[in-house]
Formats: sequence, structure tokens, C-alpha cells
Amino acid sequence: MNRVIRPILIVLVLSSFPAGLFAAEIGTSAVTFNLQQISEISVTGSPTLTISSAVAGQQPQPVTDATSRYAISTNGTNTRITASIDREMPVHTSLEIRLAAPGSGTSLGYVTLSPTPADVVTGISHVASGSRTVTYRFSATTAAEVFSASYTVTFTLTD
Amino acid sequence: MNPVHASAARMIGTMTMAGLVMVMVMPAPVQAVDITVVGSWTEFIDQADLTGGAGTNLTGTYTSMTNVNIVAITNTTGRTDNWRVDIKRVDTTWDGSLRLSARRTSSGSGTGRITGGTSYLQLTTSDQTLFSGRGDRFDVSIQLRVTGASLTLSPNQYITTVQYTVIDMP
Repeated sequence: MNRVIRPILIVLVLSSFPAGLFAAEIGTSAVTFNLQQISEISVTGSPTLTISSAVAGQQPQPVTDATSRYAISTNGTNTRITASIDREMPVHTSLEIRLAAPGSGTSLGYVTLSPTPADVVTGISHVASGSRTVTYRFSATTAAEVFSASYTVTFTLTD
Repeated sequence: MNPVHASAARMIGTMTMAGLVMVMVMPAPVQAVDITVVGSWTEFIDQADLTGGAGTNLTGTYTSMTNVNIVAITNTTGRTDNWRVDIKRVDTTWDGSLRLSARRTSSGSGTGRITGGTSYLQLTTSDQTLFSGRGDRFDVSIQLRVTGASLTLSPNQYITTVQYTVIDMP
């Protein structure tokens, strides 16, 4: 007896999830940390500088005071401190100021104060520093008139 | 022989006479557990956040409300359906010095149960399990915290996305 062999095509597709794969769903939440520009400076001290004598034949010696302090906090980059006084000094007199650098930036040394703001520390970036020394130096020549006055010094932390 | 193979074998035997056999064993539909997350957190930092005015640094640690995110786990097959919730950061403009953490501050409500996640977990850009449970849970409160903020960071909007993933467990 002849046997008829029929071609048989079997397509076997077995689909299943492997044991280690689980269904997952996602939920999200936004977080925004909004950091503003921070530029804070404060100064303490109200020094009195007096020139009361001079060596005969010489100009009066300048007087200095280093009792004042300043503090600074900034997250800015390459910021600077300027200083100015509220009015001009009398002729033949000079009031100078020097700020110690706050751990970042460069002090410009003694800078003459005037009503026009002048840089005293430059290149300040990302710093929090307290109790830095402020030094005043008062000079006069023999040509100066005798006077006594108070001046307001303004410090500005700026970009 | 597991039931799937037995079924396939029977079908093969039945269809042999027809000369062409196509056997497809499809998996049963998988019911996906859903997660819903509501809420976002924006924190503004300025000079008022200095610890003591000029000369001092930022507070450094910022904490959201205890329910800044409300999470719901739904569409489970019942109170025996186990799941876990993984969490990670997906950064947009985030800075690596800012450490973002999350913790669960309530268990919410529902027929199931929930465990873990009550201590702060510092988020990374990889999934970590925050908490797990079983069955549907609603109104699960999440609190977020950022530490490491300081003046070394430049002014900017630092943005990231907290991504919660619920994983249905066998």
C-alpha cells in the first residue's frame, strides 16, 4: 500500500513574556531650583582720622585707621566693589581707602575717594567672606585749611 | 508539559490532516498597573536665603511641602497584586552639586498596603526603589528636598524631572 506523505508546514509561534519582564508605567514631576543673582555687601566702623601735628620742615604725616570691616556674599562672576564719598574733600587733603580682597578677586590697594565711584576690589566671583579689613588713609599738606567734617563712604558691589 | 505546550500539541494533531498548520500561542492580555503623579516644585533662592546676611553662604537645604507630589497606584488586579515604585532624576539643567532627595510622608488610602520610602532617598539618574506595596493606593504624599546649594552655583534655573515608575511584580 502506498502511503501518501502530505507536506505539513507547521508554523509555531510561541509568544509569552519572560519571567523577568514586568509591565511598567511612568509618572513625572518637574522640579525647578531658581537661583537668583545674589550680591550683598555690608560695612561696619565709623573711624575718626585726625592730623594734628607735623615735624618741622616736613609735610604732615598721613594717618591711617584699619578698624573698619566689610563682608560680602555673591554668586556672581567677575564682580567688583566700588567706593565713593558724598562730596569732594577740601583742597590739599586726600582720603584714601584700601580693602583686603575677600578671598576671591584683587585689591587695588589705596584708592583716592571722590564722589565718583572708583574700583577698590575687582574680579570677585562666588564668595562668602566676612570681616575683611577696610583701611582709611587721610593725608593733608601744610597748604590745607584747618577743618573738621564727616563723610559718608558708599560701597557698591556690582557686575 | 505545561498547559501552553499541551494546547499547542493538540492543535498540531488536529490540523495535520489539513496539510498546513499554523499555531500561534498568544499570551493572555497583561493588565498594566497605572501610576499617577500630581504636583511640581519650584524653589526661589535669593539674598534672603543667606544664613546671616552679607558674608555668609546660602542655607543650603530646601524642603518642599510634605505633599508636593501626590501619587496614586491604580488598575491593580486586587489587594494581592504586588508592585514597587522606582524613582530617578531626568535632568534638564540640573547641577551635580544639588542633591535632590525624596521620601514618602503618607501611606495614602486604598485596599492595598504600602511599605518603605519614609526616609529620604537621594535621587540619581538611575532608578532606585522608593517604596513598594500591593493593591490600589491613592493620595500617597511625597516630600522633596534639595541640599548642597551654595554661592558656588551661578544664577540660573536648575531644572530636573522626578520620574516615578511603577513596576507590577509577579
